[in-house]
Amino acid sequence: MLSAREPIFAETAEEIAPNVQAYLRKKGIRLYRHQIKARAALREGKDIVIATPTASGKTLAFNVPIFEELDREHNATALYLYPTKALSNDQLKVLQELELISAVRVNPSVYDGDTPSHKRPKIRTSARIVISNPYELHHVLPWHYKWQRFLANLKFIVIDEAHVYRGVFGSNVALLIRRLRRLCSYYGSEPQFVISTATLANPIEFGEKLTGRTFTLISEDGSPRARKYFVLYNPYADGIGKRSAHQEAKDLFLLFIRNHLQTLCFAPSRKMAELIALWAKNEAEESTPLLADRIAAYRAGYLPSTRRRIEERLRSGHLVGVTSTNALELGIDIGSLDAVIMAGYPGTIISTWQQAGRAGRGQDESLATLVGFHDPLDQYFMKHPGALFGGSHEHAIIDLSNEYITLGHVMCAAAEFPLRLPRDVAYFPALLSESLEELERQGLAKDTSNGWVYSGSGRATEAVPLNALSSQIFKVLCEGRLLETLDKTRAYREAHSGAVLLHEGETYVVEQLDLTNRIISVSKKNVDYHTEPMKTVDLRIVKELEKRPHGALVVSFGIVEVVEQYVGYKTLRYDQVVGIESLDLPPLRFTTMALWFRVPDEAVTQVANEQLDIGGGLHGAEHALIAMMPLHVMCDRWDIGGVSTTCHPDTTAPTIFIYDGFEGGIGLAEKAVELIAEIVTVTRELVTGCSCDIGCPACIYSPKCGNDNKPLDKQAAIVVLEQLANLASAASNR
Amino acid sequence: MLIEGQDNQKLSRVGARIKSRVDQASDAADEERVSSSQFIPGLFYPTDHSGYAQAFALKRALIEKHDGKALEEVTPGTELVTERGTCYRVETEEGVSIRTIPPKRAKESLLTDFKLLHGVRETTERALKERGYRSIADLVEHDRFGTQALRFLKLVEMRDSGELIEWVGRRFTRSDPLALNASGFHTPDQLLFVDLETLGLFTSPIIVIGVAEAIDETLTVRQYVARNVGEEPAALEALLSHVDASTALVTFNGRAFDVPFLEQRLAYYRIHGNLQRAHFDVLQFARRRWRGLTPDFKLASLEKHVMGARQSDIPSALVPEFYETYLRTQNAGPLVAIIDHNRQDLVALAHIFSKVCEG
Ligand SMILES: [Zn+2]
Ligand SMILES: [Zn+2]
Repeated sequence: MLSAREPIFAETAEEIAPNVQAYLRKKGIRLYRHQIKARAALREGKDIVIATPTASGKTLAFNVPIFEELDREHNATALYLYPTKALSNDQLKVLQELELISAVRVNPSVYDGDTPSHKRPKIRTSARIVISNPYELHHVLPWHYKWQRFLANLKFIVIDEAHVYRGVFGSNVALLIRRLRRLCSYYGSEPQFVISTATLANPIEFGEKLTGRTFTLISEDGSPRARKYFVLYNPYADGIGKRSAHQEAKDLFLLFIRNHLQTLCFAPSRKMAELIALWAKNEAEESTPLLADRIAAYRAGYLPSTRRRIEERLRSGHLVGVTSTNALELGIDIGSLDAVIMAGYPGTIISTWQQAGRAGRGQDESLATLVGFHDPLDQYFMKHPGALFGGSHEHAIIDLSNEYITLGHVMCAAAEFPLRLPRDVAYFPALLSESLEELERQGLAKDTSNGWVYSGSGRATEAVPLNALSSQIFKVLCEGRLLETLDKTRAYREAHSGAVLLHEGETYVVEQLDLTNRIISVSKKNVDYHTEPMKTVDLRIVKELEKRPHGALVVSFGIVEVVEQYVGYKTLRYDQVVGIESLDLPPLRFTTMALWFRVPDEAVTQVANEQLDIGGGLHGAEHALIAMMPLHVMCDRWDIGGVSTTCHPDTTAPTIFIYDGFEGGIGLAEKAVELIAEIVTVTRELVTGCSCDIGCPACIYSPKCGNDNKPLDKQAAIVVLEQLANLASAASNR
Repeated sequence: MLIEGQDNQKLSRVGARIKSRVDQASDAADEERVSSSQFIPGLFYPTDHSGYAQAFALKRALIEKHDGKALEEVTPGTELVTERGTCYRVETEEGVSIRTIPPKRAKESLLTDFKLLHGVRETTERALKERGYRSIADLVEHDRFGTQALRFLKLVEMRDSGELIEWVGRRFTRSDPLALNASGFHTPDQLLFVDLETLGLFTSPIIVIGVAEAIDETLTVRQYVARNVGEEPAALEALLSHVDASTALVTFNGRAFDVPFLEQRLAYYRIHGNLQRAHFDVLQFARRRWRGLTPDFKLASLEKHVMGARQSDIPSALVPEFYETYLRTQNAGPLVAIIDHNRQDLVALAHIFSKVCEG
C-alpha cells in the first residue's frame, strides 16, 4: 500500500502575471510546491528537468512560466517536442485552452507529418508555440531559413516524455538537439530547456547528455496523493496455475468493472489487448449486456479518429473498462482511473510505475495490480516485491561518441549550414574532425573557405534514420475500407493468410497478404478462435570481419543475418490449441553486425560433469552479458539482441552471439568487441555474486527474451562465464 | 598497438555505409522525380534505358576526348573573383531573339477581364459590359467595385508585374494566361532566364547557375560553374549581380524548384538576396498552351515539339553522376557535358517563353 499524502502548496516569490493568473483562477488551480519551484528556476534562466510522477501536474509546471514569458515578450517563441503525434495533439488542446482563457496570443500549432502543406507557411511565420516530434524536426532543420523568425526568437525548448529518448534512439535525438542548438546560435537565440520525464536513476546526467546543458532537478512532488493499493497477483502461486495469466487478467478486469471501478488493463501485445477485451465483452454479454458496450480495446494501429473517440469516452466515464498496449502509458489525457491491471511485467521499472500511475484520482483510493506470468522474470517479482518497490529505476543512457550515429548527424549539420572548427566542437564534443575527414573521403563533405560543406547528392536527413522503425507499411482493407495499418514484421506475424485479426473487439479473418502491394485483405467473420504464429529464428554468419584475441579468448566480429521464418500457425479457442496450419511465406531477413565467441570445450565438459544443463548455461550467460552491455557500450538493453546455441552450424561449436537491433548495425557489438574482456569479467562477478538461487532479473532473467526465459541454468551459466573470464585473463598465446 | 589502424578501419566502415545510404536516398529521389508528372525539377528524363546507355557512351567519349585537359583549356571562360571566392564563368551568345507581349496588348488584356475583381463572375461581367463599362479603368467610380478597380489600375499603370501575377493568382491561378501579360511590362533586357544544374534534390550543392539575358537581338548566356563545391558561393554572388529592382525571372518549374533551391543555398551561406519578385514559370503556361499535344511536360518534350530534338545531351538525372566523375578524375569531359546541357536548357527556355508569349 502506498499511503496518502496531503498537497504541499507554496507561495510564489513573484506575482504570477495577471493573464495567467486569470487562467488559474478560472480553472480553480493553486500551484503545488514543485510547480512553483519549476517556475522560479525558469525565471532565473535555468534549464530544468522535472521528474515527478505521472499526474502530478508537470505540464502546468512549465506552461505557466512559458506563457508568462510569452506574454511579457511579444515575439518570444517556444518549441514543444513530443515523441508521438497523438501526444502533440493532446498538448495542443491544453495550450489552446490556456491561450483562450489567458488571452496571451501564442497561436499554438502542431507541425508534423499530418500538417497539410497549405497550412505550413502560416505556422512558420506566425505560430509562437510549435508542437512537433523529433522525426519532423530532423527533416525540417535543413529548411531553417523559413523558420528564421521562430528560431531567432526561441526562448524555450520543452522535451516532454523525455525518458523515451534513451539508448540508440536517445543518442540520435541528443545529436539532433545539438543541431537545433547550433541553428539557434546561428540566428542569435539561446533557448532554455525544460525536460519532463518519468522517474529515472539519473535525471540530471540524462538531461545533460540529451541537450548539452546543465540542469536543475525538480523532483519533490507536491501534489496530493490518495491511498493506493498495489497488488501482486500470482496465478502460479501454487507452482502450477489453473488458468492462463491472460484469463486471470480478464477475470480481474471484469471483477473490477462489475464493482464499479473504472479500469485500464495493460496487455503485453496488441493481440492480447484485443483478446482480453473480447473475452470480457463476451462474458459480460451473457450477464449484463449493457456493460459489454462499455468495454473497449485501445492500441497503436487504430486510426487517429478512433483513438480520439476512445480517449474521449474514457474521460467522460462512458467506458468503464479499456484494455490497452503501452500506447496509453505515455501522458495521453484519459483522466485518472480507479484501477490499473498490468497483465505481465511491463519490461522496465520505469514503465511499471508509469502504468501504475494511471490509477488514482482526487481523494479516492485506487488500485494497481500486477498479474504475474509464468516466466521466471515475472515469478521473481511475485516472490520478491522488494525489487519493484525498493529497487532503483533504470538509467537512461545516451552515447555521444558512437561513430555511426555521430557521423550521420555531423553530415546533416553540414547540410544545414557549413560546419567550422573549432567553433562547432561545442556541439559535437566527440569525433567532429574525424567524422568530417571521413565524410570527405566518401565525397560527402568538403573543407572549403566557407567551412565544411555537405557535398552529397541525396538528402542527408534521409540517410540518417532516428530509430529502427520500419518504413514498409501494410494496409489492412475490409471491403475496400481502410481498417488499420501495420509494419512489415507485424504483417507477417499477425496478418498472414488465415490469421484472425482483432480490431476494436471484432474478429476479421485474413484472406490474403499481398506482399508486393502491401495490402492485407480481410473479411469480417464472427469466429470464436484466435491464431498464433509459429516461427523459427536462425542466425547466419554472412562475413567475419575481425577476430580479436583478448588473452586466450578469441572474439569474432562481423556481419550476420537473422532469418525469421513463419512456418505455420496454431488456432486456439481460449487457451486450447484446436488446430495447426502451415504457412508459405518468404523469410524475413534482417542484416546486422554481431560479435560471437565459441564457448570452450572445458566449460561443456565441466557442465556435463556437474550434471548441469549446457543449453540453460549458454542462454543464461547470454542474458547476463546483454544485461551488462548497456553500461559499457552506452545503449539501452532493448537495442541489443542475442542468440545462444549448443552447436552453431557456422562455428561448429557452442556459441553465443550478441547483435545490434538495428538494420545494418549501429556499432554496439563493434564497441563491445573491444571491451569484451572487461564485460565478461564483470558479468561473471555479477552472476556469481548474485544472492538469488536459480536466477533473477538482476542476473540471468531477461525482460525481452523470445523464449520466455527458458531454459535457464544459473550454475551452468556461472561455469560458462568462469571459463570465459579465465580465458580472457590468461596470457595471450601470441 | 593497432588502435590507430583499427579506428580508421572502423570509421571507414561507418563512412562507406553512410555513403551507400545517401546514394540510396538519391536514387529514391530520382525515381520520385521521374514518376511524378506534377514535379519536374530537372529538365530531361529518358523514358527508356537506351537514353542512359547513350549518356554513358557520351561520357566515355568525352573523357577520352578531354583526357589530360583542364576545363579552362576545353571551354573558354574566365575565373570570376568575388568576395566569396572564385568560380568559373562561361559566356556565349546565341542567335535567339526574345519576343514579349506588347505592353499595349498586355494592358488591354488585363483591363478588360472584370473577373479579376473580387465578387465579379461571368454574369456580373456581362451585365457591367452591357451597361457600357469597357475597361476596369471605367469602373474606378463604381460604387461596389470602384476601390478594387482603382487599386488594380494603379498596379497596371505602375507596371508592377510581381503584384499583378499575385493578383491573378488570387483570382484564378498564377498559371493563368492572364498572368503572362504582366511580362509585357518588362523590356526583354529586364528578363533573367535562370536554370540550375544541381548535385541533388534540395539541400545539395549547385554545380552550374546559368542565366540568359536578351541584349539587342541576341541572347547572352552566362554560366557560373563551381569547379569544386567551394566555388558555389561565388556562383550565387554572380547570380545576384544580375538581379536588380526591375528584374523579372523566367524559369522552367522555377517556382517549385530553382527559386526555393537558390533560397536554401543563399541561406546556407548567409548571402543576402531577394528572389521573391516577378517570376514567370514557363512550365505552368506551357501546360495550358500545349495540353494534349506533347506526351508530357518535360522541357525536352516541349522543346522537341516546339523546336525539334537536341543533337547530343545527357539526362538531368545523370548530372550528379557526371559531376562526381569529373571531381574524381579531374577530367573536364563530364563537366563540359553538364555545361552544354545547361546552355541548351536556357536556349530552349527562351524559345518556349517567346512561343507562349506569341499566344
Ligand atoms: Zn540473480
Ligand atoms: Zn533468452
